[in-house]
Amino acid sequence: MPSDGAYLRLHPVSLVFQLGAVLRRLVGPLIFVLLFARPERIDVWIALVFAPWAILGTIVRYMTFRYRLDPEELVVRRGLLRRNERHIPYARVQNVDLAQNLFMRMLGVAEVRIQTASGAEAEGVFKVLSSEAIETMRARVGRGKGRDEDAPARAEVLAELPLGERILFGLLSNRGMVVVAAAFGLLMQATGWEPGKGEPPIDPALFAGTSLLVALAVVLLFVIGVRVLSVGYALVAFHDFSLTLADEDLRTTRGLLTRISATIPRHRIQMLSIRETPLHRLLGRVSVRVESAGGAAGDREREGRRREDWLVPLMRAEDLPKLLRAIEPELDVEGLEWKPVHPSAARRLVVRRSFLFSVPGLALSALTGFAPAGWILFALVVGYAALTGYLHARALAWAEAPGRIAARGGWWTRTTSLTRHAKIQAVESRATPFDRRWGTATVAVDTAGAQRFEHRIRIPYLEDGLATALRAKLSVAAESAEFRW
Amino acid sequence: MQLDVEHTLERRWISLARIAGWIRAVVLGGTLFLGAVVAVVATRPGFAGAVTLVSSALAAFVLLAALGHFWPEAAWKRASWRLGEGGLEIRRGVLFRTVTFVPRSRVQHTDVSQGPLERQFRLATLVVHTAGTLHASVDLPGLSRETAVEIRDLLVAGNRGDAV
Repeated sequence: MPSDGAYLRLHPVSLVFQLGAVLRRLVGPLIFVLLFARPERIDVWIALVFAPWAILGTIVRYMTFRYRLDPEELVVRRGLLRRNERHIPYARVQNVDLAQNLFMRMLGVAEVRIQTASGAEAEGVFKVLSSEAIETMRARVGRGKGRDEDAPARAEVLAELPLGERILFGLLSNRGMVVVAAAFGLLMQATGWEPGKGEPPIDPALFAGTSLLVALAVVLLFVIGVRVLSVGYALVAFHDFSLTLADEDLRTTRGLLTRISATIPRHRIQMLSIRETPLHRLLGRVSVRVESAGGAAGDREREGRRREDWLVPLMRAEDLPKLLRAIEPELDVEGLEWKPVHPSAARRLVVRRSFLFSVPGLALSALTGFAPAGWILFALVVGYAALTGYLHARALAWAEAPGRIAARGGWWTRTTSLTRHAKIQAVESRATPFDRRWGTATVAVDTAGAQRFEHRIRIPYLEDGLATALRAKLSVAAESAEFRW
Repeated sequence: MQLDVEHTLERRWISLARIAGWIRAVVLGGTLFLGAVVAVVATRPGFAGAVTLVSSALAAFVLLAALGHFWPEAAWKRASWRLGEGGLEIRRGVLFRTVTFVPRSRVQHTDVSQGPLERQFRLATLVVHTAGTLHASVDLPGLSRETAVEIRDLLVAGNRGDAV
């Protein structure tokens, strides 16, 4: 058994999975291109040259990877040319995450990723281990953290996704587009067609005679098709989804073919976001997302596995307070006093957006040769810009709660984000020349693990005095609240 | 060093930034000018066309040079920093005025860096790293090397809580 000091290897079948991952990257596109593409595609031949090395590398990595479950720590040895011995004390282990695809499940193995507080990628990646080994590891880690080895962790199920909800989630989300985009990409590769170059795979002259009605029907079919794909994706990826709270850890498990189990320690949540589109509001649903850090921070997609940042993809709005009370017990979400931004925001946003959108509007009407229809288009575009600008300004709000700051925004997707003072990394206030003219400023807060294009705690159009006061308050609060990974 | 005192950047930073601006203007302007010459030779647009191309390249150069010469002074006037009990506050920006505050306890590590020009001027840039994403590193240029080191030491010294 593991504790006798001998090093263990990964499960023998690991080689198959590791090679499989490498080959999948090579063989799939290779076969495809060999069948369809022209021989002057030199990159194919280059890939062929590298393939044997990649395979050899994988075999060497498997042979040289060993681990040992010591009483106090996990020891991992890797490498042939550069040998590495890594010690991970159990007390420092934050998560033990699992991922299992269909084949792994059939064989009773899983990929294990061990994360500590050190903010880098997962410190220990075991692809793959048998279920007994996983259980032993989990038990050891639990014991090392001071938990009783055999006592069941107090686990509370916070959210689940029954079939109806899953279908609804599929309908509301856009995953289908990813599949379409991938198919499009494949098509372009296969036929050598790119928009503007080469022979289109389908002769456009075929479409010359079709009526508007038929074209609309095709578009409708396309949209429906995308939604169907979305639903399919949701049904598969979120099969048997559950969010549980066990001691201080939030754990999500999901997946039909590939089973994923991810843990987020509560204190690692940097920011919490609650999202709703008008459709969500119509149906009385919301979705909850978290940004966490100090884990697989740079690890967005590893061999097809996304970092879990969905806390709950879809839930009833009326269940939200209960969920939030479980995750953030000191927070009273309903008691938040939402404050609006400066009244000039609406005017400024309308003007700014109208200006911005007038450029493509002009371009569009130029396409029609500045015909009356073109000007109507222009008016529509600018009108849309103005309207959405106004709605956007109306949706902006912010609120303070003990130990926290919250911001809300978005005219279509309304996002409400909260972060604790303890998670604030830096505070910034910013005034553009327009801000100075109107006497306002923007206050923004930086957190760890923020995603590029996602919502941030950023409050624009705050009156100057208020902005300075808020910045000062947040600065003091951030300094006095200790930051802990 | 006294805490909670507003400091400006060193005055000699203006000369440094000016030289950097001129270098940039010469390099960019030179490239543009060469590009214009190549375009004239390649397309032979006639006298009027040639004059337009070359003069627009020259205009770009003049603009860049003017910016490089006059901007640093304005930037210097608008830049200041303050080290307090709580952390480091930096004010910068001519058009886009920002005030950035990094709490002491969020400083992960610091760099004091000097480029070749900075070494000539005995200036340095202090780079403060946090665990954040948009403010993962915060720059403070225009410091004398001694000051940069002093700020760094003071920031780290107050930081004995190794919260992990």
